[in-house]
Amino acid sequence: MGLTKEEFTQAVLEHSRAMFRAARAVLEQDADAEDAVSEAVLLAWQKRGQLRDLAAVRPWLVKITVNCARRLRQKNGRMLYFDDLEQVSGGQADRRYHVLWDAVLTLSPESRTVVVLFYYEDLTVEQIGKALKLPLGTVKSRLSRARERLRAMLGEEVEER
Amino acid sequence: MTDFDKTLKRRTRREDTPLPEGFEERLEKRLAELPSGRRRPKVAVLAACLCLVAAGTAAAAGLWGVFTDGQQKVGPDGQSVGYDLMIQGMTRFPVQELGEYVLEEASRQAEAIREAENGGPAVEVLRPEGDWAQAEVRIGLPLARNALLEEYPLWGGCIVNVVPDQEGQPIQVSVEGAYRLDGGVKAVMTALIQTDRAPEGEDLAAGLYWADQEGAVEVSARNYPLADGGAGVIFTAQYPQEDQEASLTSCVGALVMDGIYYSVTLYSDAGENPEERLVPLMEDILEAFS
Repeated sequence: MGLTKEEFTQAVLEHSRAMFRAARAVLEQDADAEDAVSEAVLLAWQKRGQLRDLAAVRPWLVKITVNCARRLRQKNGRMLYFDDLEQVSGGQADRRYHVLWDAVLTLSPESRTVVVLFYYEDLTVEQIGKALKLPLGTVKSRLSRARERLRAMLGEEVEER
Repeated sequence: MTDFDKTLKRRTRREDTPLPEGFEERLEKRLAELPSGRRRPKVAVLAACLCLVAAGTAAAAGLWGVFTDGQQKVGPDGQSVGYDLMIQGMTRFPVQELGEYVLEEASRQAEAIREAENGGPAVEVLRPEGDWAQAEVRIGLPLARNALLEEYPLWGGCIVNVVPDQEGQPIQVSVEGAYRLDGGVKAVMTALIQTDRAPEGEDLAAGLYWADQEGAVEVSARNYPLADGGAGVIFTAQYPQEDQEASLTSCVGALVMDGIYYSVTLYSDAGENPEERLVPLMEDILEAFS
């Protein structure tokens, strides 16, 4: 697709929050997430010919960002896939959160990533599995655990805000 | 979808996700620094991302070791804004000599492209995985190694990209790996393989983009004779001294070895003169191919 630099710039700025959120879901620090977004911008620009449909630019940018963030995470020496190590009692799990994003940030990176892709980016579990190269069952189980933790942190009845 | 899911989705629409202070300004700066480029209708080289303004036609004469058929492009002020360069010396590898992975991936990519063109999902983003040795196994061809770059960790893994024709046969295969070197320098190495399914009579265009015509980019382009008698080419680009802050200095080195085109792109966002660090480093990198 022949994206001009102006079109590309506009698309990135329009979806920059989604890109940062996706990177932050994988990484533990804002600075690392911003670094991943920066790399994703360059990579997306180089690979803009692979974008076939401008309407799909947001999920395209988000997926590139997730991949960049995962590479950065690997480079930093952390395991990308490991059992969910969130606390099941005590600590942050017992706190109640009023802001959804604050609650999401307490999840493990693996759970955060599927939560962001499912709730914020509206991907289906199938699309998430494909993007993260995970079996469907793994995506569903991570989402299910994350859902229960969010329900506990946000209150039994998640009220409209 | 449960009621909880629906409620959470509604909340994601309403509740803001905080961004770091200054994030958008830094992102705008990053976007402004992206090299402008002209997309070629031919099969693309993934590696090079360099804006070129070379001095007159002198550069064209010195590039015959790797490139040929250089056509100089001229900007509105008469300045040279880049070159259309064709890679010479590449082998058209028979498809049947390539690994099964290449054939399967070409078929899969062709199908995905057809679906995308018919309104289906966009073609998926390539995922890095494995190292160069594993990429060799998948491709079915030996790849040159670079002893200097391999002193550094491969960042994430290699990306293997197979470009298909409309019949689902591979016409081009590339392998790309990124490395973080010392001093904030990033390196991307790409191996490019052409198959015998590429259109007859057409050579691959080098992945060299045009300069942003809104701003002058000082460029050098030179032959680099290798110690083993081979030939490499080194390009550099940077903004003028008075606009140093905006520079994303880059340097591209390229050579053809055993019929495969290799390029390495070095990036530095230090606003530095590429001659100081990047060029000497690139010379060492080109010598380290084997």
